[in-house]
Amino acid sequence: MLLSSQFGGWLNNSKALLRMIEAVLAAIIILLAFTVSYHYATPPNPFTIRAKGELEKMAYNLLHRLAEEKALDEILEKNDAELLGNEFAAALRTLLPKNIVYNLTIYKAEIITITPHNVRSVGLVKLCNAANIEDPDTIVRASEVGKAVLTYTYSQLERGEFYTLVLHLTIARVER
Amino acid sequence: MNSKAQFIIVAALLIGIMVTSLAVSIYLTATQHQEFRYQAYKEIIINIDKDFKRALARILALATYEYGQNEVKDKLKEVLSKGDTNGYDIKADFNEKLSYWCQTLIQSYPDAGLQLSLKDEENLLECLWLSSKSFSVIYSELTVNLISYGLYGFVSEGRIQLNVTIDRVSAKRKGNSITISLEFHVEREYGEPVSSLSKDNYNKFTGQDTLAGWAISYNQTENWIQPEEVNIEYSAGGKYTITFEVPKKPSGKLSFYLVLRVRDERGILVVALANVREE
Repeated sequence: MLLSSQFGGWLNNSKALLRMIEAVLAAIIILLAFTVSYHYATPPNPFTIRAKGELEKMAYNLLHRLAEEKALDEILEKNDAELLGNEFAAALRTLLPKNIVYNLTIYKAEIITITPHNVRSVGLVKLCNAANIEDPDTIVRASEVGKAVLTYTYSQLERGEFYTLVLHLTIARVER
Repeated sequence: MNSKAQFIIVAALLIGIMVTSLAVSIYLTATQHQEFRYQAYKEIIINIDKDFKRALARILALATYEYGQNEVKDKLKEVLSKGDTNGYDIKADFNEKLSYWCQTLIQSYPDAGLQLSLKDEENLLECLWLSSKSFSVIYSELTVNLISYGLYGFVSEGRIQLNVTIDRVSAKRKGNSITISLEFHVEREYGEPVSSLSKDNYNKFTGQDTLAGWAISYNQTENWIQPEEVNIEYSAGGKYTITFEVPKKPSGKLSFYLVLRVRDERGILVVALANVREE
């Protein structure tokens, strides 16, 4: 009762009451600021973000592996775009788990001359595609998607060829 | 208790809850930072570094293949007519191919903010052939910036080399023929030994699973002869010993030049030359 009466006396002072309301408002503002910053600082779904990173790593590792083993050279030696796509599809089927869908597109970098100033530039020409899905939107709709891009420089001594291939691999985890 | 006193208690509780919430928020922000989106800058750098070295090796292989097809024959005549076995030097420009490669890379990673710069003064493609210490080498330095990932100043040093050194040549009379013994060693850049030469890839530079191959030929009068029966022995560290027989000269001591061609599994060719004199 004594404490209550003391507080009661203190609160009779209108300035003290205003300070108190200010303190509460300030605390609300600070809390709101932290809540908003926290919302932007952390991803909406940490699991999806982590899974996406893992798929991206998997895609890169896969392409690096294909490039390291002399498999690519052996396939390219045959100089047949359709065969190239089939061989890649077979390699990816073997190396990836069953619940992973993939879409690999291989481009060949070609020098193009842009007139009228004869500026030489490089353009990517689609060489072949290997995928285990008929509808590419399946990958777009999947929540866990990983993409990787790898360049592979190739040469053929007898034919005097020298060119770079650009491999775009997209993989996604789906329910199967 | 009057209403004003109740207000102060509620206010104190409210402030306490807010401060506790703030502490929890700060803690979560600190502990969840590793959940940010994965950035594949390391994989991009690995790819650039590996493909840069691969491109250099391919450029050197193509250049040495062309020299080995045509130019070396004319140079060989010149070297032999002068009797100079110090070899001859070829330097070539390969900036056009590297420029094409750089443009391709920039197009491949449009979102990475990729910047590539080659050190022009460091670029080198050199072949010293037709000598007992012959080599083919390509060297370049590439600086990579990935602006979008905040990565600057990665330097990839590309040195691709193949050395062929003839250590000893001997010719010993044995009945009606002379046995030639040639000791040499083959190594890549940074002294890495090459062990891919064998009897199977003798004189076979095409139609093989591997690009590795080797051949020898020696001159008698005007003709160059490739011996059919050749033994090769590998004794570790990139060291080889080749033995073969040549017919004895009717009169006088035998003396001729021997050309050794070596190509490694990357397709890089070196042509070495040795002068053989009967003991």
